[in-house]
Amino acid sequence: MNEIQKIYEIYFSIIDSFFGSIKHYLGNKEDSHIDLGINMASYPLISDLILDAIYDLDAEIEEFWSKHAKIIFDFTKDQDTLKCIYSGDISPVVLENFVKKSALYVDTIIIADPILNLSIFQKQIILDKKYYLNKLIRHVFNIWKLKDLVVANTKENILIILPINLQLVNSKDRSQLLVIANKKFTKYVNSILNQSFESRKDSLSFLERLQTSKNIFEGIKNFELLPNVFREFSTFEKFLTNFGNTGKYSQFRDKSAGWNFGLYLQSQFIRVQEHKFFCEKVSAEPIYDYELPWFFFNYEIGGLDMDASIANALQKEKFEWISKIPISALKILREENKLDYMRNILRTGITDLKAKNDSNLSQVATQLEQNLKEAFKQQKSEIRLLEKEVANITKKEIPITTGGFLAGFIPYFGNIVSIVSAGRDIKKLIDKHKRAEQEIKFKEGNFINLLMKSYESK
Amino acid sequence: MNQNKIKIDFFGDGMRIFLDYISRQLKKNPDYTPHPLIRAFECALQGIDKLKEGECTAGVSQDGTKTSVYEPYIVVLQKKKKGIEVKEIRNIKVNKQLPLDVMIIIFRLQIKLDKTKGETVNPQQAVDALNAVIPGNKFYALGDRWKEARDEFKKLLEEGKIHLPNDPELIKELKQIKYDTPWEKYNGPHNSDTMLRYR
Repeated sequence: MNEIQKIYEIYFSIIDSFFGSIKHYLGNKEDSHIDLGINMASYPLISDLILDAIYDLDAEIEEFWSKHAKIIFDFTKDQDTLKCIYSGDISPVVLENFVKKSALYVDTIIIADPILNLSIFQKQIILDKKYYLNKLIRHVFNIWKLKDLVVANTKENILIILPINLQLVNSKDRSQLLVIANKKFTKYVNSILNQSFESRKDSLSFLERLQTSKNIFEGIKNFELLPNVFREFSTFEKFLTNFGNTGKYSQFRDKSAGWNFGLYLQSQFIRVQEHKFFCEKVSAEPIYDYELPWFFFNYEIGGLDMDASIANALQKEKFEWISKIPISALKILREENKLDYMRNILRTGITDLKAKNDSNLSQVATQLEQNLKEAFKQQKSEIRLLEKEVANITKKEIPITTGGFLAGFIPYFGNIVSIVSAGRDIKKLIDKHKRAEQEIKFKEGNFINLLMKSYESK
Repeated sequence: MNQNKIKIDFFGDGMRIFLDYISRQLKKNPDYTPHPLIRAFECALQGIDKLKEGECTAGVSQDGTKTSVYEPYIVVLQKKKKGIEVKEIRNIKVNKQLPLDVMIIIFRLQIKLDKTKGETVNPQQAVDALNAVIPGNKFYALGDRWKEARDEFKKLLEEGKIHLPNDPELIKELKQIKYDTPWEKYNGPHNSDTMLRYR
């Protein structure tokens, strides 16, 4: 076991010591961690006890990272591989599915430690303790399900957990990032409303006066600068209602629809700066699993390069079928050393320029689907050829000598053909047959085939 | 919230959560002393291996000293074919079985008190802990105002507004309380009675 694996063993032992007593409730379904969070938080007696009993989780996780963060950051930075940092929510909805899709293309997926972010930073702003517990259990078990993958002995670590949060950035850099974020936020508000506010405060004050979603929507002048979900009033209103409801659990007051809208936009611009900072720190690409945060990152940097575009396009709904492959298939992919091969398949027909111009990744996603279909077609054709080979051996390619031997007489060829040579023919034949069959078996068990089966059953 | 899909084992989960908590505390501080209920449970568990199926074992523990008994608990366990059944958890001093919700309140109270630094807690800290685990803000730390409470209690008693239990011993003891009796000389049940009745 290497040093990194040992560190993550300690990390998971912390999870076990705090949450091991309820893990037997975690079902087999992919979203069982979500149900577990909701259910535990809704039993008052038990949830109160859990909340009291885990009061020192923050101190424990802080101590853990104070000892190990540098080692893991240095290790990650030194990896000369394709790495992606996730920055959608606290953790992806179903981390397992997110990893399955991402690991088709990237070597290492990095996610921010949800325990650290929730128990130290979010806990301070969340007013409803049960809401906090629900989130904590959900994200802790989302990660716990992938323990085997985190501590797996693969050439490159498929999944790395790191302490990532703006509050962990040194104060000088943090202030600078916040200044940039606030400037970009003000500029964006000015662009969509055709205004000329000079500061974040002015922008927020203006937005605060807009009481309803309708007021905001009517004030928007440049819809083309908004993410798709904000361009239709119905989806815009629904989003703001949900955002306002979430805000009720936190210390951010729900002043007006405009205030919520401003707060959301501002948080996205801060998130982008934070994400950029950590991506640069470990030389990684950004990766998201849903459109909104992706939109703001893309807006900020004006389009991603090919690698980041492909990694992000794979998160689109049309690739949901990839989630059906077993998680062990990822290990097969790595053991077969086929990640480069897989990357080449996916990259076909995609260039940096094409990717940069495809702001919603629809073209990249379509190309990826075509590339995968092509790979499946080729795979099928290879298997068919092998099957044909086996059939030929058994039906037609039995040599005369072997046929004779099997028929019970030894044919003459010049002089006498020995039984030994006839036996050798049979052995060769059987070996060839076996090899072809094994190759079929191998091809059927290889990653592309597992992927193909998953695609065909969608 | 969605409808619950999980049926909780309140006793088992409560115990496991608290035992995990204790093992974490012991890891941090080997001198940490768990609640007597847990120690009684542990004592009972020690004897379980030697039992046959259906037989019972008990463990007793308390927080007092050699000369005084404080918070004594007995835990009775029965060996079953598949595991152990908790037959009874009883506070021996008040001779009452411990209901599940009270057990969890005790666990929570223990955790709250553990969080308080130092060997002892002051009345305000104790009251805060009680109010945190028992809903309704029923507890008050009177501080120097306890004499006001005593006078109020006396007045209500004289007006017949306080219905005492039919306990001759208690009435006798109450009558012995003089105006200048220091608080420390009051018996436990009396001073808490005073505290609870005063608002």
